[in-house]
Amino acid sequence: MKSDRRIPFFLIFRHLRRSNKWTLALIVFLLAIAFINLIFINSLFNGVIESNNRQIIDYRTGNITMTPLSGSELITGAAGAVKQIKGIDGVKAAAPETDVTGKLEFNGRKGDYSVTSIDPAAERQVTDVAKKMVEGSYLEPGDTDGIIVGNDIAQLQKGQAGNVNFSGVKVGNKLTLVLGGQSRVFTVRGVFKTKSNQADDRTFITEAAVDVMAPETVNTATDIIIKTDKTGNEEETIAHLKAAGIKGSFFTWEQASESLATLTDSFSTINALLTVVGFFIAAVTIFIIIYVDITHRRQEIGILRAVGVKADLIISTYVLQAMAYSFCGVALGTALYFGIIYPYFQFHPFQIPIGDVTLAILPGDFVFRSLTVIAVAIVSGLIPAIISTRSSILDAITSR
Amino acid sequence: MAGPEDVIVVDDITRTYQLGEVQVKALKGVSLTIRQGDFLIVTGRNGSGKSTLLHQLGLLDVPTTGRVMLNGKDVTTMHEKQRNKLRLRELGYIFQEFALINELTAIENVMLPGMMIEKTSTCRERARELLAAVELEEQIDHLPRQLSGGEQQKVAIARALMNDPSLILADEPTANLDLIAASEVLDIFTMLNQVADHTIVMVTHEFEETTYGNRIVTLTDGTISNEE
Repeated sequence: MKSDRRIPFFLIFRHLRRSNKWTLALIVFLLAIAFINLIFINSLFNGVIESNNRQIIDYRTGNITMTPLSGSELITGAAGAVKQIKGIDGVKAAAPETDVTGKLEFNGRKGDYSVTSIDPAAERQVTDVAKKMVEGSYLEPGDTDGIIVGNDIAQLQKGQAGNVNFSGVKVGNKLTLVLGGQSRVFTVRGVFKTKSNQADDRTFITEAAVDVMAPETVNTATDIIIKTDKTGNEEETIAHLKAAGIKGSFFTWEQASESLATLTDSFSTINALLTVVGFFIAAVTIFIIIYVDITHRRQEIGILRAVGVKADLIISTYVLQAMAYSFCGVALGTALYFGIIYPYFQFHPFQIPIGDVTLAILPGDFVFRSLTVIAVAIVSGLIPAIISTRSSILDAITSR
Repeated sequence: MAGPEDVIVVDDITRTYQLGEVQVKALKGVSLTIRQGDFLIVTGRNGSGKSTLLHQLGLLDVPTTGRVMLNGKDVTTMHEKQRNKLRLRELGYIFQEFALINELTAIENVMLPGMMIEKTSTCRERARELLAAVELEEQIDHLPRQLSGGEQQKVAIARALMNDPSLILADEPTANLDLIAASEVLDIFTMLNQVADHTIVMVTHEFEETTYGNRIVTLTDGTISNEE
């Protein structure tokens, strides 16, 4: 290294060590806030999207939903299919579901309603509805008289949309299901609340109950819900399922939930817009902070020029200084975010109608935003340093 | 033509400033030759052009017309990079307001110009010697704010000497000092000129200080009105 290349480090080290600590702390704190502002909005929207995705997977579709081939209404030989599916690489569990439409009656009120029959033991392996019982208990295998209802059904108010108004239904109440001319009374075993509007408007009975009422549906299903080892490998698992010759149509959780794509797109659009605004605000904030700091040191730049320090070394000094500020700002912002903000919202999630939302930052987003802060800081240091080294030395020294 | 003993030759320079719509002619055709070993005092009333002339000699400004030759080279047409190199190696400039870097200690301020050329350890050793020469060996690790005005000016003098320049320029170096500190600083300049054979140009408006030089130039309204 040429001896003069040490000068920027010589000056920066001493500046950081000896300049006013409160001013330095304020600059770093403001950069940290600008950085947190950039990642917070992004991670909030990622959290909303991730929460919604999680709910779809955990309470509605699993990772993959298998439906009958086109032209068929039912998957026949469902038990065999489930067994075969469970043996496929990447599959953790599978459970059949059958949606049946019949008339439900409660307290003299009746109407058409879709009820889903499940194998409770298998269903526990693919969805988390069983963990979200707010009253009573989940269905037991072989329970031919039990029914559980979602919170949206149980809390349905008079006049709200819905085929059947079950308002006020409680554990122990009797509901009558009329299916294919057969009528059967079910006892409400429990009410579940997942906070997902795609799950909380459902009712479940056991497949054993449907087998009693409609023996022709034994060993059939309208869907098979498949849970994979990990979220993200759905396409690969579908390829394995197809390669194994399992007859059915397969949909990832994103494809199976029509409303999800719309919601995700909407949030992604809002996120993108707010990110652009956030970037602009952060860039302007960082630029002003660094620009003002370096502009206030024009006299120092003038002195350095007067004693013969080369312009490129002077520029390097202030650019490196801006980089040092931004590294510290990003480090402090990261510490505040992961040390305080992120854990706080893990324990106190935002409670919004579509569910509980925590913060989620993707590694790529985090790195990109960190680099943005550093890049803006470099430009903010570069511009006033170049201006000061090109202006008159006397003007710089006298700060004219 | 510049002679072998001529450190700097000023050839009919003018300097005009534009202040809004008003043109201010600070120098109106000044010619001057400074030779090796000169201790030139530039004096005159406020606004006479003393500091403007010194800025031209110190390559901190460029004349509007005319030439300045430093050690035989025309510096008025030089690129800023070359002028910067000359400021570093050939000139030592001492400002009225000391112009020290506040976050550097006395020794760090002194060694800074040297670090452009020499190893840090060499610079530190030379800076220590220079500070000792101006009787500041006890204050080498003091920051400028921990030094008196006279001590700060001594640090500035030591810094000006760091790269052993052929010309030392001092712009009213005693203006912000009390009588005792001013006397100490002037004694240092005398020693530098008479013992170390440094060429010095000092601007002052204090009549008593003119006795320290071996040549005096008086400026009046941008021109040399008297030369002794």
